[in-house]
Amino acid sequence: MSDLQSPILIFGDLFVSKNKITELKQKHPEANWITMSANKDSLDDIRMEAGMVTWDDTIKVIVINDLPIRKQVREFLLDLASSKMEFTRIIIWDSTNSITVDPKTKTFCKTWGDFLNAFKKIEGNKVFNNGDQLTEKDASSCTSFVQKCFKKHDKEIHEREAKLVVNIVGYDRGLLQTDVDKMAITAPSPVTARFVIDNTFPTSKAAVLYKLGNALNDADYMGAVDLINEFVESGVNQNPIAEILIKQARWQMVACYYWSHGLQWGDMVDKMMNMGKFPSYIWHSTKLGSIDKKQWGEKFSGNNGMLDFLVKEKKIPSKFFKIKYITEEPKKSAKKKGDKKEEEIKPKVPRGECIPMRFMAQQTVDFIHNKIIKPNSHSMSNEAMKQKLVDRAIHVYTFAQEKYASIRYGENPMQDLQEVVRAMTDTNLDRF
Amino acid sequence: MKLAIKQNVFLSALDKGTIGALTDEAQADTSNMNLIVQSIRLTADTKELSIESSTNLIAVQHTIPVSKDDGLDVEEGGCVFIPAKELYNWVKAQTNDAVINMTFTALSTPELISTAEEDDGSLAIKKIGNLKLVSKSGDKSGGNKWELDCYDPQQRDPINFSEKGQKCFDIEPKMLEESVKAIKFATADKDYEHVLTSVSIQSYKKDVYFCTTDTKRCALYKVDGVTNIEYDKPVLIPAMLLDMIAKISDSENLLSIGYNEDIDRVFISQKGLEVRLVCVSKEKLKKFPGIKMLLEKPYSPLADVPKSVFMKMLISASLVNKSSALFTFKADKDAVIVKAISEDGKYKPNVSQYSIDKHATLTEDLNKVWGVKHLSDVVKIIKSDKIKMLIPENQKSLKIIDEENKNFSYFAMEINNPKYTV
Repeated sequence: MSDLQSPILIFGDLFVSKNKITELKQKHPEANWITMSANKDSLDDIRMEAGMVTWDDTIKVIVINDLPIRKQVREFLLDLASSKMEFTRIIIWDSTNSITVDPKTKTFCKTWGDFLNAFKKIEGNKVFNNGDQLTEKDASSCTSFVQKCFKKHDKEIHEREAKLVVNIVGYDRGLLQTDVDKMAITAPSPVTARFVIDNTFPTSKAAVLYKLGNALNDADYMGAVDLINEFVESGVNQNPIAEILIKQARWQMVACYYWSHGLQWGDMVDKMMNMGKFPSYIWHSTKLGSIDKKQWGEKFSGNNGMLDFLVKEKKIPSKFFKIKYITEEPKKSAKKKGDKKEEEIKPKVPRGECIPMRFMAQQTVDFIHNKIIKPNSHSMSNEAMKQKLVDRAIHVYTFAQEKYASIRYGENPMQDLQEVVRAMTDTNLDRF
Repeated sequence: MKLAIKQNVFLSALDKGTIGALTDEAQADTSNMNLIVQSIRLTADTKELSIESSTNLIAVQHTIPVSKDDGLDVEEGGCVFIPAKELYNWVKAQTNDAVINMTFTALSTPELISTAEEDDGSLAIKKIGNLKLVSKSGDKSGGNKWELDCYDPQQRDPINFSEKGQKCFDIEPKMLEESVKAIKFATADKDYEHVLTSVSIQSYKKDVYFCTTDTKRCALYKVDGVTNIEYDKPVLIPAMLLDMIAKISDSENLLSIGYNEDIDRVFISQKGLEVRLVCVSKEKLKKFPGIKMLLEKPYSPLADVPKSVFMKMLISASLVNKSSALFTFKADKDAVIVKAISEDGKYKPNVSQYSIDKHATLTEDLNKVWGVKHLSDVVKIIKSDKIKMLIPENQKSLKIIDEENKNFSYFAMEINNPKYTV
């Protein structure tokens, strides 16, 4: 027990923090673990519990959670943590996520910053910062978190696959860790994208898209129908599934169009990945390399990107445009008063549809190439096939669109979904 | 089954036999088989009537002999499984001099009471008949009739009360009740391992002690009236269960306590009463401290405080801090100063001085921080008008004894609170 440092401060991601405490409990089962709330329990009770010597000299670990934003409590905790107690260990856990980093300044707020600094001055202290709750902005730290989790199980996962895990599971350390712990039992090393798709549990619309898209691109009718049933049973509405099917049909249509216009298979994925990116003048330029496209294109990716491009790059005076530059965020005071006008006038930047992950574009291209063109290549000429392929893509897409209305307002959405899947997985060009 | 039984005889029997089915655990059961858990097995033959109820924690079987003189006549034997709470409440509502006639009528085809959706019948409770209850009071003014569902007794195996294991000792029921009542307040409110919510039965120099602790204080009771001690290792029994048994046992007959290590169960038997209680597994026994160190540690008298004064000082201190207070025993006079400071910031410190009968010779003031609640709890148990306080050489704990009940002793540990540093 002597190896358990005291005092300990744990804050950050709740799931990871809770795991840390469980880990400590498992490591020191001989101790008497007592949990107290700094908000609900009286400070006198906490002091008494900490100062009480047990009559059999058992080591006592007091976990103080539920930290309120009260100066008096913070001062008490610092005082308690710095008290010398032979048989008592103190763990302070920010179970309410009060200690957070300001996203703008990347520092702790003054209140908790001072508390942390004072805590770090206590002899023997240990601080576990388990990071904030993740958001989409933290994609890179999220992927590295996934990689670390796999590494704990002696499994390797490359950044692309780790990113895929994050995209499917979501930005939640707890869910990510649970999924990785589960997958690591049977995962190959390095972990493959296929394994990730087959074994991760989807928690978002995008994740459903990956999984369902994967089955559709394998022309696996039964697999796709089973997946749809599974999603619906686990609470996913039929509408987002229908939207996913339409999206998938649209991507197939794009790939068919490119091929029918003579684009080589090798260039297809890059071309598809540039789809929807603004400005197309840059992203679809045949003169620019991919690095130049990225560098130049990113200049116009902000809220004012379209105006910037047209005004600064193409030298068109801004007075000709109805849309105005977005100069600043709506004032907080206006938000507080519930002034909806501020929010309503906030212009929406029109965006084209982009394919989120490269492998998805690759899967779509592979589907067209391997599942449609190859099996049909013996029965028709290349030119005839180009025409038939585009016809099929348009037919499937329009069919999916029509069924979308039926799925939304009809009586048997599951039947409609299955019919769309049947059309999308039908690879016989003679039928179109 | 067909029998007639006097209301008071039946109610007294139900008081004992329904304990298992009427526990909070059984009544709050939401499993598919909750009807069974909340029921009692009523078995009658020409010799005796037995009432049995059980949960995972406690199983009780109470038997009464069939005797017309004692108010029980069995015309036709049998076994039924009936809801305990309903039967108990109905019997309780009848007059004392009433005679209750019970007749079992079997259904031609058992009825399945399904408690689970899409059940194939395996989870269903089988209703096999009805028990007709008719109560006729002495004045013969009509009667009270009711019917209760009877479930298939075979759906729950009877408890085997014969696997008692090692006999521990025999104890007088009155002593069991007295000792458990005196020490149960010192158990912890909750402990997921049930070690600190249990009564530890330990032997020391041929005496049996009951002990409870929440690790900060300890209540100890030397149990008189224990005979035939055959097992000297500690046994831990949940205080709540032991208290229940102490209350229902018959004061006339000795209780025999046995412990089966293999199944972690304690068996308590008395004439007409068989009880099986769950107890803390032997692997966890060492988590409860031994009483030897307490009994062998020498304590010297510190002071005697009248009970009323002691209560007064604790009440004053608890106005400010219910958890701890500083007790300063003055070296130069027979007085104690009690100081309470709160960290909640609501109250100003409270200081009060009281006259005491000091026995210890102190070269300097003795300052000790003790738990206010820990002390006020024990005052309620002490029968004597005087609180006798004792302290060991290292001064780390406080012992309180009751002059009118020498079997009882109480130990409270001191608190390390730097706020009270003098």
